[in-house]
Amino acid sequence: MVFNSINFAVFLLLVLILYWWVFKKNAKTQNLLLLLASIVFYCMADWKFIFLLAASGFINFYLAKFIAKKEEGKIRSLFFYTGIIFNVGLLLYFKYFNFFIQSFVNLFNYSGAGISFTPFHILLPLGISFFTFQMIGYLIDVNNDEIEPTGNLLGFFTYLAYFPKILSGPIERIQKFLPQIQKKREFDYILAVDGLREILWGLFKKIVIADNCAVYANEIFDNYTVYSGSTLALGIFFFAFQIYCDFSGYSDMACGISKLFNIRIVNNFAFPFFSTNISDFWRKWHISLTTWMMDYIFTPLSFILRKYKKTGLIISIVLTFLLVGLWHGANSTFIVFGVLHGLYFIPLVLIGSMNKNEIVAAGRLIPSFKEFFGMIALFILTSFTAVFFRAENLHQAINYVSGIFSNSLFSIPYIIEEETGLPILPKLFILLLCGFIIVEWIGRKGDFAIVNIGKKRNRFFRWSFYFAIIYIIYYWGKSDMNAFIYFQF
Amino acid sequence: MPLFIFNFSMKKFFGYSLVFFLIIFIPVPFINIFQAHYNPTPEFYKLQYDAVQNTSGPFEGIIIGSSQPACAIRPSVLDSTGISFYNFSLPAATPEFYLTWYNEVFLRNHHSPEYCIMGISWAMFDTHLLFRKFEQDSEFFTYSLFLKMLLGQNNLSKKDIVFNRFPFLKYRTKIRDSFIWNEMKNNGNPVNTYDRGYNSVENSYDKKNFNANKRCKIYPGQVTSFIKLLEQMRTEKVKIIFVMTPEYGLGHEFYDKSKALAIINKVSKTYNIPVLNFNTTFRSHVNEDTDFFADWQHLNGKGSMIFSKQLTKELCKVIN
Repeated sequence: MVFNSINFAVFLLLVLILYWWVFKKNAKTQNLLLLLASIVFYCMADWKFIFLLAASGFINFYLAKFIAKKEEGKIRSLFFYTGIIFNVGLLLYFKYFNFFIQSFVNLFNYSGAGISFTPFHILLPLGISFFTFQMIGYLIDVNNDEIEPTGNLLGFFTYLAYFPKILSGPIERIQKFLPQIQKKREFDYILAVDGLREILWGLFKKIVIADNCAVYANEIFDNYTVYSGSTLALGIFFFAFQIYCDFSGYSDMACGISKLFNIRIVNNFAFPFFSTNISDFWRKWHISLTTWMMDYIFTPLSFILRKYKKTGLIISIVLTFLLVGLWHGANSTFIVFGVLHGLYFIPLVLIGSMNKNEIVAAGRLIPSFKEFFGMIALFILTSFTAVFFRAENLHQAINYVSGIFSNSLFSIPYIIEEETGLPILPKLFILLLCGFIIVEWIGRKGDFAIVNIGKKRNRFFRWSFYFAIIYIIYYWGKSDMNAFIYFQF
Repeated sequence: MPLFIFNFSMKKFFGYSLVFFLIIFIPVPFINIFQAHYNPTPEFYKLQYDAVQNTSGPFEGIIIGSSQPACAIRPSVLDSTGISFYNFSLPAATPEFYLTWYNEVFLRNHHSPEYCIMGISWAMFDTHLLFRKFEQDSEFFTYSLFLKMLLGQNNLSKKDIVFNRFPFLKYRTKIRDSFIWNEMKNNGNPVNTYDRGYNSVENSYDKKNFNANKRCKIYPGQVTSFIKLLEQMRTEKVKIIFVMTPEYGLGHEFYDKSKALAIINKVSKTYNIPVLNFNTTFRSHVNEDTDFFADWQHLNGKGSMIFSKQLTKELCKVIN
């Protein structure tokens, strides 16, 4: 049941009515309903792993309590590492088992061992990368005495399984989430309307921009051998917008839905394409994963390697981004994707401007030439890595990239339309995409692009804008309801 | 639900939401009316469905198949066989489509026909090339058929049945085309050529554009449906004739190698069904002249007239 489906709309309406009508008595009843709704939601997506989710919840809940009860020492460490091994083990087994075995087999075969390996049929539990990271973060924070373990089992499970974020995040921190659900929530009109606005923008991003980009990106990536260099470059452009709008659209919807329950969850994107350096980009792209990696991988690692100064810092960054890449999936393409992003940091480390956080065109509508050039250059660099993100294997990715750098790079791009078989350039859609970029640029200071419309404009303007968005969704939207890319992670 | 159970801000929220959605839906009936009239679907689809659902009949003979027989076989020319045919061929229709169509549409309104001309082709078992689904014609269903398909136990996609029922949903991505399409479609499929289901395609053949996409797959589900339909018709004593309409530009060897035609030949022997293949056994000058074609696999009006006469001649031999 994806957010952009009729089934989910009905499900959400029912839960909302029950939440604000039947279960509104106190925090406990509200949480109970949220938990039940989350279980139903998860089961409808994939019921087979609901017991795994429950087991993960129980084990981490009690391990955290045991860790907190014990003083520093071997027993505490034993509980802590048991928890970490359990969570990492889950990920390794379900997500990486076949990949690592296959990699070892390939390694042995290079030396002529001649070993064959048939991959195991292991189903990937939905949302495992998200809920496992939440649990690891929780155990580390408890072990570091940064938070007290919760004794509220219902609240803990509501946090773990909360349906707006269970399938594709954000990777929410318990210390931000739990305080909100420990008190009774009252209906907040302004927040609810803001939530609806965010859902609408998320739907627009997903159904109009991402799904239409997907049509062109899929066509080009699936037939990259027959297309010109310019078309392959256009394919990267489409895929970059597809993945951004797919994931940030999902995140907008998740935040918006959560606001309807008067619960705020972390914003996962902050207009990353309007960054001028890679460090700033990662502060704005998949924010919950980046901060998680920063807190639990990069910071300890750079502390350990601090004596190697800049070299240690570079190693820490590259290793962190290697894990970021690997988090996305068990494929060498994701490793290359992560490492490339890590390498992009090297110039910043060398000139010492890694933490420089500039607001692009602050207080101005038009960026300076330098800012504009910086954004374009960064967009090209990050989009280039998208080839590795999208390709099925390294061979395909390398062939795709080499296909771009040919004489045909300077020809007029075209795409073969599936229905007619004729070469076309989707000019109208590209125009719409430009309109989308302008709206995002104007609204870049808010949590999401159209948040200020609700604050600064009169009702007539607001409603006209919403109707326009709804009719664009109706006109351009794909009805075949593509699943979100990040569900696979 | 009584609104008094909500506090003020909830009432305001639900009140505004209601007004907002009501305003959204105001243009919907108008868009629906507009899209029902101006859409890219050839008008003969509707005329065919009207005929099968509203005509009292009886239909002595029916013609089924994909786009090739739809624009190649003129029922009025076939009248000289002594049998009155109606051409129910629809572009991109498959055996799976016709199995459902025959049982849910045809037999719901009529008795079994005496004769059935079944259009055959080398692509007929390829779901990817022939992509028509029964659900996508729900716009033309009678209300009772629509409700039966929507609420009944079947393998059809309920979402597709609903989305294809209402023009404002079905053609929602075609609004821009709608302003220019009516003229275009009348140029391509002029409805004044409609002849008991037949509708000509009047594009002129561009000799430079011979680009035959001959790749096709055999989908087992289509073969199963094909056999099921044949067996059902045989049980109902329907006399079946396989007909393959002329194509331009391909030689004997292509048809001899076709896996789909090999299956059809085998089936024809098993069930003793005559095969009139106008690309091999009954090949003629039509196959060699682009003047008779709208594109390499579809006859134009001129070609269909000559071909229908040839078919009449051969049918007379088979029937008698």
